[in-house]
Amino acid sequence: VKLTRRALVQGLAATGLALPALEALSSRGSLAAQSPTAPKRFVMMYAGVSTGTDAADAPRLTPGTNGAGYELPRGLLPLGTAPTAWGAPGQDVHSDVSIVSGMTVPWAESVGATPPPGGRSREFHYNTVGPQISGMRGGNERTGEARGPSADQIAADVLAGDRPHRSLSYRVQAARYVGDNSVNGGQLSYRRDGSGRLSGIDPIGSPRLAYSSLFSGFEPPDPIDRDRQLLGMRSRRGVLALTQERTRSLVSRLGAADRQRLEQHLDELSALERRLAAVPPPGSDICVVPSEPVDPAIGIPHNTDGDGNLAYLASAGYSDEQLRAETMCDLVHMAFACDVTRVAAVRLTHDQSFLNMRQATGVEADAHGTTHGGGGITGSEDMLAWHVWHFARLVRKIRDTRELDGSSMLDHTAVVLLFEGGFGYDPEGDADGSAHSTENMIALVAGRVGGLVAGQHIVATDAHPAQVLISALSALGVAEELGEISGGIPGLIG
Amino acid sequence: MQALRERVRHRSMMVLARDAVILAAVAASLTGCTGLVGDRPSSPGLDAVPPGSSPDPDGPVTPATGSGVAPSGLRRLTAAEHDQTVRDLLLLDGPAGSTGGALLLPEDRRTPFDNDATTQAVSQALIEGAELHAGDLRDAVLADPARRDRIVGCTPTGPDDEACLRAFVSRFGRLALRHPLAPADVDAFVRGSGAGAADGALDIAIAMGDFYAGVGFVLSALFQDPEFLYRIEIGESVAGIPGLMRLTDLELATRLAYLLWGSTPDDALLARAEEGRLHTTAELGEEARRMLTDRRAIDRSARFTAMWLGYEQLVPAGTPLSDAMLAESSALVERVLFDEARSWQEMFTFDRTFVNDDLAEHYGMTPPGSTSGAWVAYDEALSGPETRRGILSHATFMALGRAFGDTSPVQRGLAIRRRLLCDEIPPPPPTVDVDQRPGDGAASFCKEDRYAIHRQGECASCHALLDPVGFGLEHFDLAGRYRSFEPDNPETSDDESTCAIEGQGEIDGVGSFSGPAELGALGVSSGLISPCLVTQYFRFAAGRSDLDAVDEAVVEDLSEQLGNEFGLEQLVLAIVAHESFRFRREAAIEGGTP
Repeated sequence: VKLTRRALVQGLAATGLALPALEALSSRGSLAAQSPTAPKRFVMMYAGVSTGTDAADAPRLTPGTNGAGYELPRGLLPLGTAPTAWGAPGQDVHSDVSIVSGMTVPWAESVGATPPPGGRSREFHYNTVGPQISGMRGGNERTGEARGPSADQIAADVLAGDRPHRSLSYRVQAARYVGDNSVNGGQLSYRRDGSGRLSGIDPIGSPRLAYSSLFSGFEPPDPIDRDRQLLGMRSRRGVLALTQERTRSLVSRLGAADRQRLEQHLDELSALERRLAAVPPPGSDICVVPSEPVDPAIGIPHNTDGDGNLAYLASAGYSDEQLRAETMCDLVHMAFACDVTRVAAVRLTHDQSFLNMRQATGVEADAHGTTHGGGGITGSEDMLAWHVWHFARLVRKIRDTRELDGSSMLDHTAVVLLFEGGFGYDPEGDADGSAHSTENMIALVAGRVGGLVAGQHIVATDAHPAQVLISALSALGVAEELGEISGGIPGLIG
Repeated sequence: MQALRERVRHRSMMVLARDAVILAAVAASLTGCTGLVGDRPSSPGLDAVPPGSSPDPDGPVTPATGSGVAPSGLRRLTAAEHDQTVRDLLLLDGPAGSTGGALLLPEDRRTPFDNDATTQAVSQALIEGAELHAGDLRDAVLADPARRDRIVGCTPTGPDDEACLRAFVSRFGRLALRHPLAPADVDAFVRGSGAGAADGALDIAIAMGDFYAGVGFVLSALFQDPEFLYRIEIGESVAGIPGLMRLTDLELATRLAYLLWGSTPDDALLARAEEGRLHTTAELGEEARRMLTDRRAIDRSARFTAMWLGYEQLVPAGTPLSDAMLAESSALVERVLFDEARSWQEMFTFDRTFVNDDLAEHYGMTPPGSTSGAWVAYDEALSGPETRRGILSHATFMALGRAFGDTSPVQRGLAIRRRLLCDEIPPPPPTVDVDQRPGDGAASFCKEDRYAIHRQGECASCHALLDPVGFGLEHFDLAGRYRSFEPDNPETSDDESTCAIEGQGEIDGVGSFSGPAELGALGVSSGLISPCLVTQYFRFAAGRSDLDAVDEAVVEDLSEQLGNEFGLEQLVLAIVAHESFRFRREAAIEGGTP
């Protein structure tokens, strides 16, 4: 029985299901896209941490065995059924997730030299993400910017179609917390516009804003609420039209530099206008609007002293990133189920992340600190497992969602998780055995779209992590190359 | 815990440089560490008249050349300014941050101030965040009839009371957009854009049968209006000087308000500007003096200080002790700069501090017998060996410069050099891994031994500027407590550290010191802090961190004018009297001519 969206929502309301949390929705297992042919989807996730720690002699996420049924080191436990060290349930996606290990992002031969194709400068932090997500060699500055379009935006060019949201770009870590906070805003998506200009897309860091952007135009179940909401939408469109008109009028009075900036403002207003006009999306019949999340406070005090009192000094911050990550991943999942977008980029943590791992995992260190020995080897592994857990949870939700033809949404999706660093030689410090290394890079891949191989551990010695993205893009029918890198990971597409 | 393996990484830059290219690059990057101290502006002369200042304090502002005016562009309200502005407009009494805007608006980057316009980007996150937040503010007003009625200012006769709606748009719109609204603007809000093609506030009020739905429309529109979100400056052309624009009085009112209050101009300031009475140096100064008596000026100055010295992001509000620490520093700002109108320089030498019992106990001071806090004299309350004076003795400031689980002499030295002395210390060569604790494998775990490595080879020239400064504060831990020994080595089972702290510091070529009291006194008496303060305040006022040659010259002028002892009022008056405050030039286009 095909339920209309309204009928389904009303039915839920009638049975008193209050939809208290997003979690309640997917357990129904009945949410699906409506197209006769299930759409293809892509998620690019990123963790701003290394998969090795200076406290150990080997990378910590690489499974000890290759091929199918690879063994799960502590950091990958969330893929299995056993609980994590801090008691979070295993996500049971072992057979859905492939591990690609042994990869390398090459680096510049010397200080100041141009990096090789797809390579990074010798400075480690901030400079490894760009080459991975874009396949383009980086510069020498510590800005963390990609020099070419990122894989999610290339995918959006092909997959977005007329979806209200061309793509989603989310940032889970709520703030940088430590440092001068001047490096970047956690951008993970880079798009080249019609004029050839490459620009980074500021990610949405508020779960509530992410929700509102996706779902505020959807009709509420209660008829009275619905009428009010329709009037609210009328008001909202009126305000938006007025703001656009006033911005246009202002633009014409400004000098060139200010005009350029306000024209970008105007472009974003127009994009919002298009999204409002498109909501609810045509033909979108079966999806359930989740309840509106509340944003956890930013940088709440995050340590306790020996007496259990909130302590006063911070080496790191925490803004309930556990809840933020769950909510944002739920929103990605539901945006797919409602087919309002087909591409998402999710940055779990900033590069050199000063996210305090204590609250979520019990590790007494910040994420970055664990890669340099803080919390010991297991501290690093549990920090990694926290990232893997959120990836695995999203994969499970996508897998357990049925398309109209009965297939799993995961059969039409590719999900890739990348990391800031690996383990091995550190050209910056001229030392082996370092977490400041782009040797032994690891990526996690889930999904069976286009013949992607699931449940395998593939050792891809000297391959570039961008090749994992290329495999995903290739499986999605989007591209066979990324920036200066071409060709996927051998064996990742069956 | 497993011992870290022997590594060479940090030493590698001098002994294992892999090829000549590295050596050349290292040498090049180190040249910035020579001659720094000698490059300061010469001693300020009090009677010099800076070229950019108006010679006649009562005369109209007519610069000779506009040579002291660097290009400037749009500035978006920072999250903190947005918050204060909204609290003022909507008559909200909640504390800073209570409007919730920081959750929805992009995080402002600190360079070190949060208002650097060159880092502000336009994004979907900004546009939709502003829209959602505007809706929150609208809902908050409409949910509180008493507040709503005060803001609306008239009682409607019914949903279609256009006169009342127009009066509200006119009156509140002027406050929100910081200028009087033209009749066409009022029309657009009331009747809708495109000459009524889209719904306006009146349409919505009538459709919903509720006047206040129309009010909600207006509030929502105003709070996402570009003239609300951005400080728009256009100005008027100056005859004979192409590209130079004189700011209108209303634009000056906004500059003044955001500099001094971090908020929107109030009715009195707007009225003054509308009457054309914000035009001369004397008029600007008079208004600035009035504004400095407002509570918001104190909060703004405390925030400037917190961002300048770095603790704004290091000491989070919200725990009893951290709140007491923040209150200690804010109280010093209020007493020295406002209540007693002392000099800025006394912020670094003041002999009293404001502590509550918890914080006093934390410091090892005699508690004042107050849970809310009281002023105590350092020399009476302290029984330990240390001397404390001024803000550098506060726990807030001491939070600066953490690495490897404890104070880092390098990071503290760097922070003091950059923030307090405005020295430009080049970043370490790319061959240095700053995430590695120095001197692993040194003779002992004590910092003096571990950091000895920095005195060797090519490290020495830069680290000579950093480490000795930080070592002078080693007696004070990251929470500002005095200690005689370094913390235990976390990697051994030793019960007690045997690393006695010497605590002697030096500013290379300037003088030696021990502890924050002597550092503050040395920084002031040497004339190093004062010009840096002027530089930092100028950055804050101008909304840009990277100062060009024109800006640098302005700062030098101002420093000479102000000398080595000046109060907040003198600093503010010097800034607002300068042509750089009252004129602007068009900024260059990003990426060249389109």
